[in-house]
Amino acid sequence: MNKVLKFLSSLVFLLFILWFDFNFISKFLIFDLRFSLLLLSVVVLHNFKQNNIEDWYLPLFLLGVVNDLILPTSYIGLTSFFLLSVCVAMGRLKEVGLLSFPAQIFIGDSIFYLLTASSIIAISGVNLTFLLLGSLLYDAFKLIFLNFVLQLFIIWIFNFGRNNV
Amino acid sequence: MKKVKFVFGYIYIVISIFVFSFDLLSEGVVKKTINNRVDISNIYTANFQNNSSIGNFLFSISKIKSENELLKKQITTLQNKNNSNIELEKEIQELKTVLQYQSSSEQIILTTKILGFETLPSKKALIDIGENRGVSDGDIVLDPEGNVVGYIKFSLPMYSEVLLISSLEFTLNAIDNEGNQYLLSNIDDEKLFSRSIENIESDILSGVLTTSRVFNQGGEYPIAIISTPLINKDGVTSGAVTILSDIYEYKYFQIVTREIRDY
Repeated sequence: MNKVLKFLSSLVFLLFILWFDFNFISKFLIFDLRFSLLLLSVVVLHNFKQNNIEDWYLPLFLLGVVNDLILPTSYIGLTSFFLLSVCVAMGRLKEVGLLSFPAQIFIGDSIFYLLTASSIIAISGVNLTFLLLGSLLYDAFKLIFLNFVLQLFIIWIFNFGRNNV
Repeated sequence: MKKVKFVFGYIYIVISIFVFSFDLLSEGVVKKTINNRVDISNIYTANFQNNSSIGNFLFSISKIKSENELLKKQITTLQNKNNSNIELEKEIQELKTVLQYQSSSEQIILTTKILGFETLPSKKALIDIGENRGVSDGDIVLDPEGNVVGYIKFSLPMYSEVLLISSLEFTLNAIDNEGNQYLLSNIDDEKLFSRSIENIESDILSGVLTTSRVFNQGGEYPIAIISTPLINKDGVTSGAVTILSDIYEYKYFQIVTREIRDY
């Protein structure tokens, strides 16, 4: 029963983030680029040591599915795949312990946006997008840097005054 | 113990960020209700009429301090009110432009609010009307001033998705002032690549590229301006053209439905 409640509360929390993302953050563009609140939520999950990441896999998967259901041209399951791969990759990097947390975040962001960019090549308009691969990657890199900087700022706020991060 | 102290700090930071962003991005609803319920201007009214000059000197520091605080609060509430008014004014101005534009057009044009933007993999906007209001795939989408910002990529009953002109997937047919036909595709946020479909045999020096009824796009709506000459080479006239619309500056878009209005 306790587990079910925990699952439901985490799902509701993530769905609230999705709602906030669609209603407010998506209108708030910085240099015509979008700040991804879903990616931020994954990064923040890794920020807290006491957090058991395995409990969040299923809610994250469902979050991605709902996100893809809302976006008409998005293929169902893709966002879940991207979010979960970032989550797993960051978890593994944390276990290895060779990189600092900001470096882990940067790699997580890169994985998310490069996978998203490659998905357009795999799914729609292969010929044309392959020719325009340069500008697609350029957009992806801009998004990676923007999100990285904003995530660091927000993580800094979360960790303000904490000793045991 | 130390942790417990910080928890309140976090809650404060998170709540303040949320309230701030709500107020900033919404139409000032929170601000309005707070201002209605707690009219700070009525809480404190200083009566200076009966005060003698000595009485003014004896005005205690704490009183002056509290007065200062209240004045500061009043200033911030006034500033907040002003900010939300400016936002609303902008929106009203935009809607006025939309009305003016639509009254001079013979085509059925729908007005829609932008729900949000997506940037990757392609640049898209979500809008709040769909098939139920007569939107269909391929309809041309305009900004309030009537410049093309994209076309409907996918329409659902209640909402639709616009593929923006600045997206690298964007391609569209267009004609120039002389009726030459072109194929447009995206280069970057500000430029499109224009390539003539049939043989023109001359350079095109200037002009505006528009949509056309020839391509069943519902009318002639400006897309891009020829700022550098389109060069003719081997029977194909091509070059970069500049996009006319400031896509992200608006809160409303217009959709051209492909039917002629009957009065």
